[in-house]
Amino acid sequence: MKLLTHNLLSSHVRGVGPRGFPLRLQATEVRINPVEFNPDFVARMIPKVEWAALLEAADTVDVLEGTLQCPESGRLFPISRGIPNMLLSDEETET
Amino acid sequence: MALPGAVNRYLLLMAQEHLEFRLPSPFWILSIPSEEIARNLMKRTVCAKSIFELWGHGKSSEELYSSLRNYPVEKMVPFLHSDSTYKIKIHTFNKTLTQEEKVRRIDALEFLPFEGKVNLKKPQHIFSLLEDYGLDPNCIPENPHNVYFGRWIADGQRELIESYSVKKRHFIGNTSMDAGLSFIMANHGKVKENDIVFDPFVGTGGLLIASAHFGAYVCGTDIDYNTVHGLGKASRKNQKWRGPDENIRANLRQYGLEKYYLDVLVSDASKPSWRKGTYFDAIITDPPYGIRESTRRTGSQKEIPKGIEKCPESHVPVSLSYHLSDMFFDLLNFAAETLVLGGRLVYWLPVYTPEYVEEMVPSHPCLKLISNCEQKLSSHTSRRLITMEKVKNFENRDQYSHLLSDRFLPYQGHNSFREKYFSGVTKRTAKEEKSSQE
Repeated sequence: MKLLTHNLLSSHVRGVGPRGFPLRLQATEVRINPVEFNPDFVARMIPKVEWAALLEAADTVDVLEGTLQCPESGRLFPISRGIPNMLLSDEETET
Repeated sequence: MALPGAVNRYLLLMAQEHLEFRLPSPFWILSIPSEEIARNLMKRTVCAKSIFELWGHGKSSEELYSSLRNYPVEKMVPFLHSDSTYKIKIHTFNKTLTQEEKVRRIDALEFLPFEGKVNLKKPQHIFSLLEDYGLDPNCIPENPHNVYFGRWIADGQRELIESYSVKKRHFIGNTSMDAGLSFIMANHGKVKENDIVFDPFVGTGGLLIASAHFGAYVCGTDIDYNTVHGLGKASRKNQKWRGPDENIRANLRQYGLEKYYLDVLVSDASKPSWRKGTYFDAIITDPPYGIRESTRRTGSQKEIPKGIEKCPESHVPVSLSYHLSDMFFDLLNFAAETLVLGGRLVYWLPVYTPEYVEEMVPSHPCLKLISNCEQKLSSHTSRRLITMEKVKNFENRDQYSHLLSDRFLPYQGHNSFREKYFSGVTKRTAKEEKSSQE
């Protein structure tokens, strides 16, 4: 999972609402992926990004193993092989 | 004063494929403001073979010749002068000509001021004579219905269909979208460089590949843990299990597009876990209809049916009851909320053709219907490629949901699309037999 995705994700645990953002990122395995600088893409993303959340998460780059934690309810979403699992059961989600 | 013939007229030659998506004839005369725009069009289309600057057109060869005599000479001369090389190609539709007939047609064009040298291998300019013998292969007329002559400008992107073919793709699923249709979807989505394109039913990510080809950054979600992680049974014949590196990222890498991979997540499209905001430039998706991939949403611990697969690390039960109409309701709402203004939603809507009426196509106050193209699946079912554009900012989810549920009513009967799909083959014949006996 990349930082950009982290910046767009929010917890959807029942009752959490907008306080579900940003998810707390805990990484146990991180990969640094050098990518070509694409100024046009960066320019387009700047207005879309939540800066405080990006700075907080910026220590990590591409998370292979770890968790995302809902800042309000504490629910953990696992990340394995770079793929976050955001599934919740019916009882846990907003209807 | 604009003289007739001073307009830039072009002839677009379409490929004979996905006929339901377009007008019947493969020959289209278009007015395009400039050659550059015509070239740009051909950089994107997978539906058209070639585009020509149209010099003349008629219902018969004689009409064509008189039309060519009226074409301004000053527009021809730059391509015909003595130090240039050229060749003339003959293209016939629905008829094959002998070499002799072709030569005769080329000779008949002698009256044009050709001064350059013929070069069949590497000509500077290619001119084409195109003859249209109609659409019926069982009734080929003696003389063509339409004859065109023009200067070749560019070819379309037909070769992408071959180079991105699912047959040669590393990671595929049971319902991987054919490469040609994926490119058509990306074009309907107006996907361009540096866009963010999202697929909420990503599966093996075939639709993302076409968008990444056009330079968009791609991400997707799927409820199926095994698919997203590239685990479980293989979809390929002669291969039982998926290999270690069968995943969406590896697919993009195969085509040199890995830098456009953002992320894929395991997530339920009916309960999106995205923060408020507008960040997707296009949402391009093929939702499951329950025929070859089931329609699913996450359920409750209480209602777990036995025998449903378990994810290794999170034990979220997956329920099988995600009604099609609810799925499209969720999809339109999600698109209305997260697309940028002017962003597009492109998706397939399955319909039972005997009951289909246009009102069934789900609508949303923030989304404007751009196009609705049919692809037949069987005698009674088809799927429609729906393209919508966000034209209005999303204000309040609740405000629309009431309105929406009314608007979605016409499609509700389609919840049983699966039964109808299969009844087309089995129940229907049984019923017909019964009624004929009565």
